[in-house]
Amino acid sequence: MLRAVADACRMEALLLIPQAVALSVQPLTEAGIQPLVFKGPAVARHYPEPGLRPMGDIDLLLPVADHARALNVLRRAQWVVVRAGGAGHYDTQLVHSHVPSLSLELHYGLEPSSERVTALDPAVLWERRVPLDCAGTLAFGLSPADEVVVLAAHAGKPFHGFTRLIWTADLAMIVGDSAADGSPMDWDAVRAAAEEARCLTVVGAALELARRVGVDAPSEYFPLPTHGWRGRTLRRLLSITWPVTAHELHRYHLTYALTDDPAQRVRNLLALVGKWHGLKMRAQTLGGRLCHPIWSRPHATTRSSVLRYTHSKARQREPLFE
Amino acid sequence: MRPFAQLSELSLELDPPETLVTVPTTLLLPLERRDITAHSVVGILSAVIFFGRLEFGAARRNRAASQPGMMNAVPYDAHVASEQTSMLLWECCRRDPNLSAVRRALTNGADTELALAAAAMHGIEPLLWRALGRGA
Repeated sequence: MLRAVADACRMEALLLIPQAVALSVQPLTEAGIQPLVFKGPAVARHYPEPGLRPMGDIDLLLPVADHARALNVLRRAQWVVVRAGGAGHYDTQLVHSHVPSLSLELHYGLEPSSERVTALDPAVLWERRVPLDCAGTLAFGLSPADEVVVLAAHAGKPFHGFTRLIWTADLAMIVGDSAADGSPMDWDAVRAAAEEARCLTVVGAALELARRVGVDAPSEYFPLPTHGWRGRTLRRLLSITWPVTAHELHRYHLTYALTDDPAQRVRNLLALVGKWHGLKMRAQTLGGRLCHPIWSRPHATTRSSVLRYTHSKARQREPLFE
Repeated sequence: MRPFAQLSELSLELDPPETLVTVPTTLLLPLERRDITAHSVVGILSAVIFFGRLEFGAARRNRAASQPGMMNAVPYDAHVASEQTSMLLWECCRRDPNLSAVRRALTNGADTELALAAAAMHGIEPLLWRALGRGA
């Protein structure tokens, strides 16, 4: 099964992804729009071989002002809108009959406002875009420092909570690729970008996780909380068994621990109480369905819970890759 | 005379489809008999039974996880397996995985079934396949 998945990813990387990038980026650039490619295909170029970085979509970022015009151009290029942007969304999702397994997400934001815990500004990121050859198509991408910060914030955002190792692998590949090119990562620039976006903790946590896969970022640049609730939660995040215990830590605890801005932490708490998630979480904890970070269960439940989680994902037919 | 309280008054609905917590033994007593001592004793006993069952359940699950199962010929050490499986998964995500570290994790008790399930969950199946020497 593993071989089949690996072969399928390789075929997709060699045949479908270049076609999907060309189909989405070329019409836009020909119309004078400059899309910024980020996440999936932009990160995959840092991997040592094609097919090692699975993905289910292509992410393009444009300023809000260009969004409607870009949609018109893409419609003319036979892309079909399957989910419009608007309330609760920060992108428009499109599909193309020539690349049915890959969707296109045309972003004007990075996360819904309800999940906003950093000050990352998509307009500023787009302003700082750099030319990029993405799967054989000329486009624009993020600078290495911005790429590290955006990927770390994406991995640690409330909806994700560092639950996939592929995002940690992404950081290892980017940093390793920079070193292999003879231009090591500029950690001062990474720190400056993280400070500007008020996401120093989430970037620090991502780089500490990446330390396990060979990234040697200076810890003193990205200090992490060590005491109290935030410290305890981060110790669980950074434990060696995180890959098999990730789903046991309630996402709210992690969001609270990873949020830099104290006012934002209070807002998150109020939102949680407002939605009664606190009571639900406590009921689940009492019922043994969750592990509270303070009331940690032994590792014995880990195996069955990972398998149960995977099977439930398969039942829901959710895409495994993003 | 109102011998029993309405059940609807006694249940605390936390999340309708999933959780309905009721405290029947304590509060189903006649409301007229407001014998605080009796209520307290029954309440405490209910709490002891409730939390006791939770804890015994957890202990039983822990014991079961460390017993040899249908798939395991040797006793399954959950903690060692979790740690070694995690080390295998971390190793996969390196730019250049160390194959001897991968072999060491497998020799030291990494759970391959768990590794496969976790790799699917983490989106690193191709990386795991590469680290395992592509079946070599």
